[in-house]
Amino acid sequence: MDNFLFYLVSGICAGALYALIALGYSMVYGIIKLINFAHGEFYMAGAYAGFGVFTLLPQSMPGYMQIPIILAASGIAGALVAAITERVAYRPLRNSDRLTTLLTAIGVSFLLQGLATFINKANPLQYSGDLPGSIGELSQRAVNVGGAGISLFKIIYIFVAIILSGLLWLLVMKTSFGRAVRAVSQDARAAALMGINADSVIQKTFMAGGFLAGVAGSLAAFQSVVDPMMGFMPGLKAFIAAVLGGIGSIPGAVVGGFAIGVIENMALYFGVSSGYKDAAALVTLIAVLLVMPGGIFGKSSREKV
Amino acid sequence: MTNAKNILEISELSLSYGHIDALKNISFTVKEGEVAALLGANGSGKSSLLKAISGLVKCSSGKIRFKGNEIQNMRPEKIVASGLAHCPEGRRIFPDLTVFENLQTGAYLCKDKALFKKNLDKVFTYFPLLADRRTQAGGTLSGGEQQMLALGRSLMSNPTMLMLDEPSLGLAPKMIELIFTIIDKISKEEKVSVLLVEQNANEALLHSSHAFVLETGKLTLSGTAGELKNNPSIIKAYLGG
Repeated sequence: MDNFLFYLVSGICAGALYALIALGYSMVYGIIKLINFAHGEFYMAGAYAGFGVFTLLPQSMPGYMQIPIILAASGIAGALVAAITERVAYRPLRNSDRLTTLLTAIGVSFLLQGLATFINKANPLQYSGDLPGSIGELSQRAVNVGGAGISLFKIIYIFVAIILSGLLWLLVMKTSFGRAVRAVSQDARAAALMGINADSVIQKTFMAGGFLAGVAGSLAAFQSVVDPMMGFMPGLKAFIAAVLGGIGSIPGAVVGGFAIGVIENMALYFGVSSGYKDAAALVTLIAVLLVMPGGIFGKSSREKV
Repeated sequence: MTNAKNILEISELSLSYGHIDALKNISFTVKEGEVAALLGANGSGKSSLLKAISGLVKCSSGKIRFKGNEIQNMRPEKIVASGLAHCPEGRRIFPDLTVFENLQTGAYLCKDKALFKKNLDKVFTYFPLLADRRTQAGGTLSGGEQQMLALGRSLMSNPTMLMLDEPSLGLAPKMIELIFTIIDKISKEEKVSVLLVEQNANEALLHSSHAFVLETGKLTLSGTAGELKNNPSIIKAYLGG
């Protein structure tokens, strides 16, 4: 039983990160129908920026104060890289066909990985340190959840994911900017006639997604390492999560993210060897899409004649 | 009315899509406060002309002046901001936004809350049905209701001039009547100048003071609505006489 709980909570924690990344995938797809394969690299860029800021902070500063600063820096870095990527790589291709932009996205992904390798020499960076209260020490602490020891940081993931996705939902559903995002995603030309600058709205949407991915990057890095390829697998999983939830939908991305995390870890619990846990997520995706082609929260398209 | 100023002046406007000329050397003016009608068959370039004016497509040559300022090839959002609203063909409301959100989107550039409230009240007075359905998704409205919403949404930007592309298309006769009554009110009570694109020449000539006829991208006829109503070629081609 303890074991079950351990895998379940681990799954929820992993899912929290997938959800944060999936939100950006989903929002960008929702507004310009682009599967931004470079999204995982925003996550990586956030992790690097966070680590860079960490090295500048005084070592005597307690970890609980460093963490918010690092997360904010990661989010801002993710948003900036996303904004630049949108401006340089995607905006000039706004009216080209989807295959062109898809290939560009893959190219941008490789480019950013290469750039990170070039700058940082591919050495994995780690939040180390045994000083009590430092991030390195905090990352080794565990919390007892119903008899199962879950690492403290993983619990933090859940809170950050819930707070940020809630804020994003408010931004999209309750603000003038959010209405503009939804208007552009439904009919960009009609939105232009309302006085909405679609280019600017699209760029800000990228930035919101990049912010969440950047934060997720540092959250993951606290527990693991920062390296140029770190964005690939989580990016892929988050993409699966976004499709599972219904790409373009905010609640869908969150539910899909948590679902993928839980499914993977449940697969481990039921004895699937860890090499196959990625397959468990994909099999679930295929099964769900067979029944609900638009994903869990996806809309079947309707047309009015 | 005769010495009213020109609000919109189009001079020698041309537009092409690749090798196809959609508009050739178009010149005409719309006076302040009037309803002008633009008639023509399918594919004659009416919608292209409106899109060129509102900045959705780039024109190849010529000038467009709105309130005396050149606006050709400006970004659409700048043109709306200057007071020229374009209610597009096919209504193009935002289907997943509620009726109220659609109206809010129309007022995207309006940062003045009092003005927003005033315009909203105005729209709800013209179309009380929209007030009843304010929380309903735009896509669930009927065609006629969507046209009301599209018109209301354009009015939310507080325009001094409104361009309407086929507002009566596909609507029931009763709804057409209602839409034209509102267009009359907008022009008379709100002093909004209107450029009306219509295939329904009968209604258009009834509700406008001047009219222009487009044929395959060229302006072939223009005059007062009364003159055109009695023009034999118009009667033959558009009025089913």
